[in-house]
This record gives sequence, structure tokens and C-alpha cells, in this order.
Amino acid sequence: MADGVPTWEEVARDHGRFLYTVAYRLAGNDSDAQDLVQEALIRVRKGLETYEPGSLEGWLARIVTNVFLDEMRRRRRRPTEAFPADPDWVLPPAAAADEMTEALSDEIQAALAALPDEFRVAVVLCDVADLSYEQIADALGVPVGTVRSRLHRGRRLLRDALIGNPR
Amino acid sequence: MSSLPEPDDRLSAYLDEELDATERAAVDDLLARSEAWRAGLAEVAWARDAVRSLPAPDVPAGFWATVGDERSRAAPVRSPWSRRVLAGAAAAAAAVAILVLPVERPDGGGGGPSGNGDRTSVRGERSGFRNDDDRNPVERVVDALLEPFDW
Repeated sequence: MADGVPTWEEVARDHGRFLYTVAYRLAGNDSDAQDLVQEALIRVRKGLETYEPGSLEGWLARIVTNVFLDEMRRRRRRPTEAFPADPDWVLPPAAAADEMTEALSDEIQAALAALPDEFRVAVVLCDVADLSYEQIADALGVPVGTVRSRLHRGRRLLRDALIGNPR
Repeated sequence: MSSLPEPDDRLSAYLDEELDATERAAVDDLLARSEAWRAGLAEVAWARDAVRSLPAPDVPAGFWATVGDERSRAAPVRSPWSRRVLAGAAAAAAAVAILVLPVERPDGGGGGPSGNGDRTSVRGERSGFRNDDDRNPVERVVDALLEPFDW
């Protein structure tokens, strides 16, 4: 690492797991997560030439999110390739899982995958990537107030999906 | 009793400590006065904790090896113009070498730097394609010039 700028190898070694986790929570399945990480690392390689030291994981989360959003836009133009909206397609039902924690994780992931994209991105960037509202706003190019609204609505939808809406 | 506002997105920002002091005080007041606000806070806190409790997913075996492959494919290559410049410089240096260095005689004589048939070129050592005996002095000079670029 020179002048606080990591090498590509250091990014892949030290932050690959972080990238994969964010990608998986956005995409909802291994196959798409792998594709996102591959593309993100290519962009990281190019971006390191102009990277200015700061929040590295914030920068990485922004890159993988942009890869995800680009891919979503591309797939919308070709609807047959759309990311599945049906949570059961993303992850199999947890009926076969013999551990409660694993089953619960699957249900949460499925509910997350079923959120509209803009809400899911806000939730993942805040609660998985641990970015501040300002960082999320910067990553998405939207006002902080929009981040706040999307995040809140995303959490409400998630909660309703998981334990129902008593109202 | 004056009507209180419905619970809103300030609750998430409250949990995330993203409110300024004024807004935070207002939410504290609403929470103290309203069951609906307290219930709303508990709901978003539950959802927030649920996502944060997710374990890091297992990365499929062998994935990082494919990233390494991708890396080699994505590795920047020397651009064509720089290759041409380097090749031109090597050719020019070789031409100078032809003019300056003594010509190697068939009997192994000659006073050039590569006139000693016992030496093995750097490229020959690395690649194992062939040894010094197969190459003339010009090839040796070109090999030596190109060696640092390892193409």
C-alpha cells in the first residue's frame, strides 16, 4: 500500500469477503453475487488509479452497488433475464433446514430479495455495508432525505413480510 | 388532546443516530407521549436487527481462484503504441550493435560481448527454447534488450 492507496491484491484479499457479502445481499443468490463481485473487482482495478484514500469499504460498497444497479437496468431492458421477484426462486424454502438460525437467515434473505430494488439497496448499504446516510446518498446520487425515506420504508416492508402486518 | 403526527421515517434515522439534536429531541418527545411511535420504533428496530444479524454468506469454494483468473484477464496490458516504441528502440539498438560489435567468425572467434559460446542468454535460460549456439550476436542483443519487458 502506497500513500494509503491499497493495491488490487490487497483489496481482493482484505475486502473480498465484504464485497461478496454486500453483493450477495443485493443479488440474493450465489451466482449473481459472484458475477457482481467479478465485475466490481474489474472496476476496482481501474478505479484504484484515481482512488483517493478515504472510506475504502464505502467506496467498494458504492462500486458493487453501481454494478448491481447497472445489471438491474440491463436486465429490465431484457425482461427474460430479470432477477427473480419470487423469493422462493432466490432461496429454497427453509423447510429442509434443520437449524432454526439457518432457516431464519434464509427467510430474512428471501424477504430482503423481495423488496423493491431502491429499498433493498438502501437497507443493504446501511445495515450490511454499514454506510452512513450521507455515504449512501453520495453512492446513489440522491438526497439524504430520500435515503432516510427508502430505508424506513424498506425496513417496514421487511418487517411486514417476516412477521405480518397486524394493522 | 392535540393529534400527534403519525410515526414516520425519523424513527429509522433515530435508530441510526442520523438525526440532528433538534429532531432527536422531537422524536424523544413523541416517543414519550405516543404508544404508536413506540410501537413503530420497535418494528423498525426489529427489522434493522434482523438484517444486521445475518451471517456473512459462505463464499462458494473455488470462487477466489476464478477471481484470480479474471484478474489476469483484466490485467492491463502494454498498449500497442508502447510496444511499437519499445520494439523500434530495440531494433535501433540492434542496428547499432551490428555496426559497432565485431562480427563473430564461424570458428567461434570474434571479440563481441556474446562471442563466448559458453554463455547462455537470459531469454534462453528462462524459456529453454534454445541456447546461445543457435543465435547470432544480433539476436542476442535483441534478446537482452527485450528481456526487461518480458513479453
